[in-house]
Amino acid sequence: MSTSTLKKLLVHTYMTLFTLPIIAMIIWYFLAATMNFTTGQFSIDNFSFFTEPVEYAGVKLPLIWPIVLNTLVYSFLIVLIEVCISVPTAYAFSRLDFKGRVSAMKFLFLMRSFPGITLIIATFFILVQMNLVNTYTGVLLVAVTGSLPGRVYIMKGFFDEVPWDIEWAAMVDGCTRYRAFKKVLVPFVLPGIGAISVFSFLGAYGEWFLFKLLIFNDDMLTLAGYLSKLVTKEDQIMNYGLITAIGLFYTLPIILFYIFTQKIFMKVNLGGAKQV
Amino acid sequence: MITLRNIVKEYDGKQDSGRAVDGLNLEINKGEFVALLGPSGCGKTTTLMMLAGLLKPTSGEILFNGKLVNHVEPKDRNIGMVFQSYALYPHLSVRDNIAFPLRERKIPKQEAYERAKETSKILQIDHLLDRKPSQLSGGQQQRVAMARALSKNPEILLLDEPMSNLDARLKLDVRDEIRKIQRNLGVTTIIVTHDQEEALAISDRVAILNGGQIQQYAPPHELFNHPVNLFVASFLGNPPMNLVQGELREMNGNQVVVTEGFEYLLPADRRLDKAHMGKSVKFGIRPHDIAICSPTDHQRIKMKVDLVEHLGSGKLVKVIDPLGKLDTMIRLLTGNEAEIESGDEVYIKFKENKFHLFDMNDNGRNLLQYK
Amino acid sequence: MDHTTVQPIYKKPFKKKMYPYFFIMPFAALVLVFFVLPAIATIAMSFTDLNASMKPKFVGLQNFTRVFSDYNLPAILWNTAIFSILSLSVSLLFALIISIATQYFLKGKITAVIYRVLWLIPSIIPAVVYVTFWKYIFDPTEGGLINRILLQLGVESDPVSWFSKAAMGIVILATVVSTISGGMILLSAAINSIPEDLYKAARVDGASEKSVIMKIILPTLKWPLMYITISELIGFVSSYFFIMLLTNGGPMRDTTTLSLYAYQQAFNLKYYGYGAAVSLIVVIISFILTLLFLRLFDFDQMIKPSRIED
Repeated sequence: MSTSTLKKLLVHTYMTLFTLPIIAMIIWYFLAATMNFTTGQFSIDNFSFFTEPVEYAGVKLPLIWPIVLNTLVYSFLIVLIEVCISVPTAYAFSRLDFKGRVSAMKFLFLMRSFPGITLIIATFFILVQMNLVNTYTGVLLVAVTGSLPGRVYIMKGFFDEVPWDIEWAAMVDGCTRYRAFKKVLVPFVLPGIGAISVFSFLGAYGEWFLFKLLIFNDDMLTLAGYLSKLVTKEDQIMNYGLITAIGLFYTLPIILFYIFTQKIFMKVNLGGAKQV
Repeated sequence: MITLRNIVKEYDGKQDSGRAVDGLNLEINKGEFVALLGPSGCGKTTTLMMLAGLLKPTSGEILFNGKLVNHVEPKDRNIGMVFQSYALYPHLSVRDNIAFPLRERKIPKQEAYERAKETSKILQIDHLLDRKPSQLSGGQQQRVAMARALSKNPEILLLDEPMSNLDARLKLDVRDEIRKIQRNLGVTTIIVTHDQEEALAISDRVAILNGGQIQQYAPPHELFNHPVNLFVASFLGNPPMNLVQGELREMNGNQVVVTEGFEYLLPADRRLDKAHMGKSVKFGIRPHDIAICSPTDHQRIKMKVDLVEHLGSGKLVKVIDPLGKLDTMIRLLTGNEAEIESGDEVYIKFKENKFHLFDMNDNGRNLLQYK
Repeated sequence: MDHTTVQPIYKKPFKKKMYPYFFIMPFAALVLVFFVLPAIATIAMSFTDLNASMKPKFVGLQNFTRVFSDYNLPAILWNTAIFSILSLSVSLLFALIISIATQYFLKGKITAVIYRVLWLIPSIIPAVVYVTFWKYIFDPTEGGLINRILLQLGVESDPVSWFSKAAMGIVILATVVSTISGGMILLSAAINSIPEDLYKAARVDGASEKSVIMKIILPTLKWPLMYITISELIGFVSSYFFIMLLTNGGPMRDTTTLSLYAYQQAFNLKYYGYGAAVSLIVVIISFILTLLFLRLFDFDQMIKPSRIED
């Protein structure tokens, strides 16, 4: 055996070893959801949450379908809001001149790195003052503010890449700057908009903390908050079959989606750290 | 038609340090084809951008048909523009690209498409209308860019290095075609280029820019034969003009240019004002204005051949002073029939009245203005 | 024509000056209300005794003197430091190993893509789902994976309560596995940008794999590593989501970090003023780290002026 195949084999062995926990994790989710580990038999009992409300060891939760609807509505709303705010903002930061632009950019950059979560206590009280606790509006506003700096930063990278020639051409061809933005620049950065939409969606889809903190009605939860009720119980006695069954139902769509869009993940994270 | 008066452009409001354009004056007639030519950073693109309205002059006036347009938006100037990168809209088909300026003028879709088709026929790209820009070759993209610029019948056509991304052979075809279309449509056209051959071949008048100012603005042959200063003389021409440092002197009633390697007697009809005597000058002569002569000729100079390059159409001969006193190499062009090899000793002669004298104390102004 | 008047220096009309602000207005408003305002409020609250009674009184520096005499503080600071430093170093190390393996040894191979895709999964799937796996592995009853294996092998006769014995280890492990991918992506990209010729030249010179890694790859990774170090450190110091889901700071306060402690003081015990004071410490630490982070960047190259003048 040549040294180079030996080397490859070595690398593969190590990599497989490292990756084993993840493979094990994936397999476990499927097994735990569909198998009774004590009897070793397959069953679909765990999936009864499709038809009846979940009740386990003192935790009573509503039927899952309204929760699914909440999740989808919440996630798509977040995507819509984040795109609608981050695209114009990024455009202005990238391509317009205005007083305070440099300091605003510095502030944006500071915000992107600064963990807003450290300010959660005060944020909570501001929501109390605005009567927005236990409303979707409150969760939406806090969630959007937290993730916007990152989205704006990524979008700005995409706008920076648009050649000035294109915008000049649009201006000469009869556009105002706003028309050029709408008719030429936005189509140009469409891949970027797609990318931040994916990120926004995943962020919103997995959001559980803000729901735990700000939403008190169980029927207003999204799937993440719903599951977190089952995962973080005081007594630590877990019904893995039920949790993984719901978890599988919850995660499988995005995993499939991820496999088709995985190239975006590699690209956009790069965009965010280009000047490193 | 177009008048630029004392145009100054400073970037970032910084005084003097960043003057891209510094007191530029230019007059362009209707239907004229004018080239802005100069080295990079000379302010030619900035000038074009100001004509387009994409940049605003810091001071000075831009007039179209006698109307001040300094603050008129690009969209209201009725200009067409072709960019170096062509700047086609990648998400639109060729048809929509060409129709874009029309659609922005609220012309109904049907009519816009019809006019786009007409324009595309002029440029022979009507078979490409349904393609996306990414499916076109460089030459085709260039045509689409031209079509887009012309589809709205602009009063002024601005071309920013439109041919610099084409290969050499295609460039010649496109050049001729642009000239032909421009003549047929009679549209006032301004081209920015760094390629002097292109500028001289295509335009009615050429403005040579340097340091944000116009050095000379004249028809091509005049620029070439009567450069007003050292910059224009040395910038134009390939191979470049020979320039030899010398001094003007009065000797036995004759005016003479004295250099390290030779003395050149000014002919009687080129006598200069007495005030110029004693001045430091550059003696300039183009390579094709130097001939190899017999050892008996008047005003001959003995030289040694350093190098012979075959250009195909002729030979470029580089000669040096055999005594080593003159440290400038002199280039001259000969026909293919001349039998010359490096190492030969030859006599050279400057063709009559083809030389220039540039005053080194006056920014290289040409002392001999043949008019 | 006789234009003797000098054209005045161009001034942007007011409407055009205001125009860009319309684009950033919604963003600016959100930032003002949900970032700037909370920052100010956090500072203000930390000087009050705001609690469940909702009648705040100004108490000066009392909260801060209390923080520094809090008998929990040494342990919590220790937890925070251990959690941040161990998570950071382990995740950096693995990100480095995986990216060198996939981008250098297995460059362009389909297996490299598979490894990368798999490694990204923990950061893609929702945290709530992700933690159940670790809960299952270390479950303190005989239903847990490790306990089951140990019982079947006969190593232990009673199920081990992993979450009381090695809580911090579990928390770090779970955190690390899901953060590796972030660093991995950046490092992979950096390695990918090394021109192939450099490797070829090294091979011609007879360089060993070790010296290729030490002399070509690692120097390229200097900046990305710095970037990842600081940005992940900021995250580890301030975020407590995994800890909350896995152990909720327990057992006792074994896995309580400073930021989780602030949260618990405020939302479990309703000592809002005191919680704000504790979180202000986290804010200050994060802020210092963020500023350090910003020092690494060249702003001027990021901000280019518009090339159209309205």
